[in-house]
Amino acid sequence: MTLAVAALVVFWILEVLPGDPAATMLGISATPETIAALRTELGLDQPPVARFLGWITGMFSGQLGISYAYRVPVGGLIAERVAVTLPLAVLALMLASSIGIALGTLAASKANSVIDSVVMGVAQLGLAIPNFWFGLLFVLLFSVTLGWFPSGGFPGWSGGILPAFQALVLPALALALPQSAVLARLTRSSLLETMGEDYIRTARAKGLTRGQTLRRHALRNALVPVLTMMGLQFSFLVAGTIIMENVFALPGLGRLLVQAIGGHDLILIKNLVLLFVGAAVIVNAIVDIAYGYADPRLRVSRP
Amino acid sequence: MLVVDNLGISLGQTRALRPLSFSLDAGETLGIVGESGSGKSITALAIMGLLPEVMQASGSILLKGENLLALDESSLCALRGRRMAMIFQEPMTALNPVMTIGRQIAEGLVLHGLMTSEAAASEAVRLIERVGLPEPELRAHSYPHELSGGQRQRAMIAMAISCRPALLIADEPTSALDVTVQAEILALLREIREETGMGMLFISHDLAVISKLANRTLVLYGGAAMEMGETQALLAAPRHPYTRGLIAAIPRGNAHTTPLRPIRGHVPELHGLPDGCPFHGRCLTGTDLCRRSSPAPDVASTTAWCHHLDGGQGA
Ligand code: SF4
Repeated sequence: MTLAVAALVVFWILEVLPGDPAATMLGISATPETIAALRTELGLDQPPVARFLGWITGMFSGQLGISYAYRVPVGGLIAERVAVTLPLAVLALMLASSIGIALGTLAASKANSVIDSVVMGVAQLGLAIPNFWFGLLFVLLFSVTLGWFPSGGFPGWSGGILPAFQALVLPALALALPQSAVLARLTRSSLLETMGEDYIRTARAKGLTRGQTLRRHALRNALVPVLTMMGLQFSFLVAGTIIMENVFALPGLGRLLVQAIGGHDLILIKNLVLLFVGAAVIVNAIVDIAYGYADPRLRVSRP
Repeated sequence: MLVVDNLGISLGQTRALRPLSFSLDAGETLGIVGESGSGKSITALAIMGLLPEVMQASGSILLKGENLLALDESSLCALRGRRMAMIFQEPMTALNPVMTIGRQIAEGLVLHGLMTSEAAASEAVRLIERVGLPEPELRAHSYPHELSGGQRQRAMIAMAISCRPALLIADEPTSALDVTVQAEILALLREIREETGMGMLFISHDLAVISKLANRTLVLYGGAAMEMGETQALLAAPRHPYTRGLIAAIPRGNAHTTPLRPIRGHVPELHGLPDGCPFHGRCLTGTDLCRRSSPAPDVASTTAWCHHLDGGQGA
């Protein structure tokens, strides 16, 4: 349902956008005749409703259409790029959540101490710094100065997992840091709130120390709002990959999208945008499942 | 077994509990009755060493000869749940919603090094059966929200008695339950007390509930002791005006009304509470003397703290 609405909106927006893809593709040397011919070839002369239905039915049969600019099937083009962006996004999300939750827990367990202030101060800083700046900084430090990681480009997965992974670590970390700052702050406040609950007192009455109570009883209860935030952050993460892929020259979806927009490659754009929407829907479904894991009360109330 | 001597609790400049002394033997139940704010719950928390950090306790609390107020946090952790355990009022919120009943019961056994986690898991099932929950195997894998209020309170009791503590503190364990379930839980507590021989501190705002379980009763008001004695003697012949008011409120049947109406407003001087009987603002027999100095204990059939025992115009 969400996807159907998204598809309609994407299609409609691109429909009203100025600029003729046929004219753009042919460049300044185009004559009205060649443009018309290309429009026929691309199916642009058909009415919008027919083209929309054609796009949707094509999607179910795996025929996404031919890229206007690259002149290759869109499906294969996207699949190639997904192999870069998906690992990047997953790695970034993993880094963001593990760093964020670990730091938030540390700060909460030492609440109002020096450690707490330092961690929260660093998190505040992380919030204020945009991720591309982290990207540039990392390139400067780890690639140019220390030479530990490549400064950009992507060797592909065929050359082994390690070099590909190495190419993704820095951009993923740069993406993850601002988000982990958000998560750390949220984890801390959620934990401290949870520590005021009655069952925490019960756990303490059982003989658990404050730290044990925090880790064994409070953390899982405190995680629900953190999960919600992670789901919301995913769209920022996608926006982040677009920037980061350009900083690190990674051949991912984000770069593809930027190029597609530059080249008025409408068919590529609409498929990419729909893919991002689809990814957001899937992430939300995963978050829902994770809710059920974190809190059994949410398990029964969901169909 | 438990000797509380001159226990005082303060919150900054405010006195939350005036020096209070009482003792408890093994197998005995002391009921503590009072309204909210009387100091009964903080007394329990002070014994458990779980007072909020803003509060300070003075005096001494001896559990089997060991002064709990002098212990450091890690020694207290070793005692909590092991030698002394506590049951709380809110069966809805006092259990961790994301942990199975079985694991919550087994946790203390493993924590205090009494059992391996496998043995503790099966002991938890046995305890669940002991407190009268049907299908114990199944219940062990249930989450709190899948149980009724009474069942949750039974699970709470199973958790509290798991390590066979010498002292069990029950803070309003039945107040949130309806009357039939309340009676069942009281019966269970009585059984368990007989079976284990542990001492019990039973805290409630409801003197009727206390009278069903407690050998002796302590009446608190405004952070000070009013009267203490054998429950039977106290109920049959209350000497203190406040206790008389409490008892007068029982037969009327509506358990949740405040037992006494304020007469000249509430105690105004909360800060640095001067000496004087905390009840004087609401007491019919009160005089100027009551406002100025706090009464000394008067020992007869019960111990009562009042300047005008039997001497006033009558409450
Ligand atoms: S007579 Fe005086 S001392 Fe006794 S309860 Fe009333 S106010 Fe308190």
